[in-house]
Amino acid sequence: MAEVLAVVLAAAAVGLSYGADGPREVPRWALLRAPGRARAARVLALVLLALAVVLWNRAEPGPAAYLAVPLATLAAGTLLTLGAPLVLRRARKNSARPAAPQHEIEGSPTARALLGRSALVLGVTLGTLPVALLASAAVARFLPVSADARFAAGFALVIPLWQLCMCIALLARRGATVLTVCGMLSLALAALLFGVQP
Amino acid sequence: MDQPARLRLSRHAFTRFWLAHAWAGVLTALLVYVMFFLGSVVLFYRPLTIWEEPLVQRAPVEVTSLDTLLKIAAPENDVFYLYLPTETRPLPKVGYYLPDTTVWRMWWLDAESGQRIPEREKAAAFVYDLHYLWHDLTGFWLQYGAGGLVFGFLLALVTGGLIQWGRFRRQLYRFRPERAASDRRVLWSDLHKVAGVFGLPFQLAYALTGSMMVLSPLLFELSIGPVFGGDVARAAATAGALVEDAPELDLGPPRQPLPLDDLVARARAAEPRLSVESVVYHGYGHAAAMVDVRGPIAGQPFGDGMVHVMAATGHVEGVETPDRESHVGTLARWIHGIHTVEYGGPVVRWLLFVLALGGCATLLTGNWIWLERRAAAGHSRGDVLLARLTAGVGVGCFVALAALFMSSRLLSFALPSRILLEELAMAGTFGACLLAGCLVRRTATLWWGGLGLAGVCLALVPLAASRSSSAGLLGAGPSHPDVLAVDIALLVAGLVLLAVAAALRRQQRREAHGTEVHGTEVHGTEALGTEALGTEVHGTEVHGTEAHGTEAHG
Repeated sequence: MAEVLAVVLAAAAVGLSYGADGPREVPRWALLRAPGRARAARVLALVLLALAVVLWNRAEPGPAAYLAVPLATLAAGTLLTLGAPLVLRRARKNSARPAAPQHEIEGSPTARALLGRSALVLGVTLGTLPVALLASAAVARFLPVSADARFAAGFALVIPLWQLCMCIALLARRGATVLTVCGMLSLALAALLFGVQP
Repeated sequence: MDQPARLRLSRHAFTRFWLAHAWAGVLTALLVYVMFFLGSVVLFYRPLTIWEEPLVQRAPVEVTSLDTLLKIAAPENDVFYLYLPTETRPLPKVGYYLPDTTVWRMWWLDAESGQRIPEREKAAAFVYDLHYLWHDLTGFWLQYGAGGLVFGFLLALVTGGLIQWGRFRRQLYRFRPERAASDRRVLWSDLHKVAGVFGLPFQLAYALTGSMMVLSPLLFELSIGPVFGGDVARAAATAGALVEDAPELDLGPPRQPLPLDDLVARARAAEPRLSVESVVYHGYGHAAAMVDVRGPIAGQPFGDGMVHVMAATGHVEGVETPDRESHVGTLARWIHGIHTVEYGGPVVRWLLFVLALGGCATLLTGNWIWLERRAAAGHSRGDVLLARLTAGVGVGCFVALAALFMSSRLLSFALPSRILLEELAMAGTFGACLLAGCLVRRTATLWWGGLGLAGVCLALVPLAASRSSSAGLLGAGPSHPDVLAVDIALLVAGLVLLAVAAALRRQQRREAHGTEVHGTEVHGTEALGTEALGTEVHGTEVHGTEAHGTEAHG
C-alpha cells in the first residue's frame, strides 16, 4: 500500500511539473499562470518526490526507494506526456506548419572519401575496443588497492571506457588518425600488461 | 539537420554524434527492440512459470532431506543446480548442462513418489532465454552477439544524450499529436524524444547491466591472461562471483562428499540469516568439490547471499552477503539486482514494464524518423528493406508471443515434443510476420492486422488455459493468485491490442478517404511513416541515396 501511495505521489509530482511547464514558458495549467505559482508547483513537486522516497523507504528499507521512485517518475512522465494531449482532446487540427525542408543530399562519395569513412568507422568501433579492454585490464592489474577491488574497478570500467573512447574518436577528422592513435595506445598498454610483472 | 547554434557542442561534434546516433540506432534498433519487448514479458517470469505448469500450482512442498532430493535428481553432470521449494517455485527441481554441451535440462523432483519429472513446459524460459538471444542450439556466440549489439545501442544512447545536451527540459513534455496529420515526422520525432528522454536513465542502466551480464563470461576469460598471469584458480577465486559458470578447474581425485544436509547446515551456521533457496554443486564427487549455498538474506532486501563450502571437508571458504562480501561480489550483486529487479515487488515491475514499452517505442520511432527524413529524396532499397523489417519485427513480436502462449495452452502435456512445437509456433509466426512485412502492399495494414490477430489470440488464451488448469480465470476449481493474475493480464492485453488495432484501421481508412477526396498524392508520411515505401516498391523508381553521410534522426 505504501508503495502504491509513493507511486501516486511521484505521479502527482510529474503532473505538477507538467502543468508548470509549457510552450514559451507559459504554464499549461491556467491555475499556475499567476506569478510565482509555477515555481511553487515545481517546489511542491520536489517535496512530493522526497515524500515518496521516505514512504517507500519505510516500507522497504535499503536502496529500493532510491531506484523505485525515480522509475515511477520516469514511467509517469512518459505516460502523462504522451497520454495527456490525446486524452484531453485539446489537439488542434491542421495547425501544423509545413514540413521542414529536407537537408541537402551530398553527392556520390569518391572512392577516397569512402575509404576515409570506412577507416573512421573501423577506428571508432574496432580500434577503440582493444584500448578499452587493455586499459581496463591495466586498472585491474595495477591499481594500488586489493586484488578484489581493482578487478571490480577494471571490470566496471570496460564498457564506459569503450563508450568514452568511441565518443572521443568520433571527433577525429580522419580515420587514419584514429587507427594510428588507437594502435599506438594498444601497443603501449599491451607492453605494460605483458611486459611488466606486478 | 537541426541547427546546432544553441548547443554547446561545435558543429563538427554535433554532426558526428548525430551520425553515430542515427547509424548505431538504425543498425541495432530491431534486435534491441526484440530484447526490450521480451524483457517486458520476462519481468513477470515467476508468475508465468506458475501459470504455465499445473504441477506447481500448489503450496510449497516440505523438504525433509536434501540428500534424498539429490538421490532423486541423479544429475549426469558433476556441476548442477538444485533448487529448493519456495513460494514462487513450490516443487524442487534440478538443472544442469548435458555433459559437454550447452544444452540445459531441468527436472522437477517429486520427493513423495521419488520421481524425477522431465520439464514439459518452457514457454516462460524460452522467452527469458530469447531476451538475451540465448538458445541451446546457438550457445554462447549469439549471447555474445547480443552483448555486442547492446554496445551499439549504448553508443546510440550516449550520443543521443550528447546531441540533446542542454535541451532535455524542452524535449521532456513536448508531444504534438495535432501536427501528425500534416507532418508525420513531427509525431515520430516527438514520440522518440519524449520516450527517449524519460527512458534514458532506464535504458542506460539496463543496457549497461545487461551487456555486463551477457559479456561477463567472455570478459572473465579474456582477463585470465593479462590480469591473473594465466592462473585460472586465482582468477576464479577473485572474480568468480561475476560468472555463473565457473571455469573448469582441477577438482582433484574422486572423493566421497559430506552429506548435503550437513554442508547446508554448516553454511547456515556461517550465515544464520541465509534463507536457502538453491544449492550449486561444482565438481560433485571430487576432492576439491565446492558447494555454493544461495538465497536471500533476512534484513538485507537488495540482493541474495551466498556461502561457499568445501564438499569434502565442510570447510566454509567464503561468505558473500551484502555486508560481508568482496568488492567483486558487491558489483555482481548490484548488476544482477538492478537488472533482474530484486527489489520493489510487483509495483516496480509494472513501472519497468511501462518503461520497457517506452523503450520499444523509442527504437521503432527512431527507424521511422530515419525513413521520413529520407522520404523526400526517394528511398533506397536499403530503406525499403528497413521499413518492411521494422513493420515485420514490430508486429511480429506481438503475434509471435501470442502464438507461443496459445500453443502452450492448446498442446497436450502428454505430447513428448510439445516444447519444440511451442518454439516452432513462436519462431514460425515471427517468420511469417517478417515475410508479410516484405510482401504486404501497405505496412499500415500489417500493423492493424497483426495487432488485431495478437489481440484475439491473447484474449482467448485464458479460455484455452482452462483446459489444462482449473486455477485460472475460467477454471472450475479454486483459483491460484498467480494463475488468475496472468489470465487477467493476458485478457486485458488482448483487449488493448484489439482497441489499438481498431484505432489504427480507422485512421488508415480516414487517411485513404482523405486522399481520395482531395486527390492528393500519397507521399512519404502516410500511415505509420512507411506507406510511401510500399508505393515506391510497386510503382515508382527507387532512388539510390543510401550512405550519404548526413542523413540522420532529427
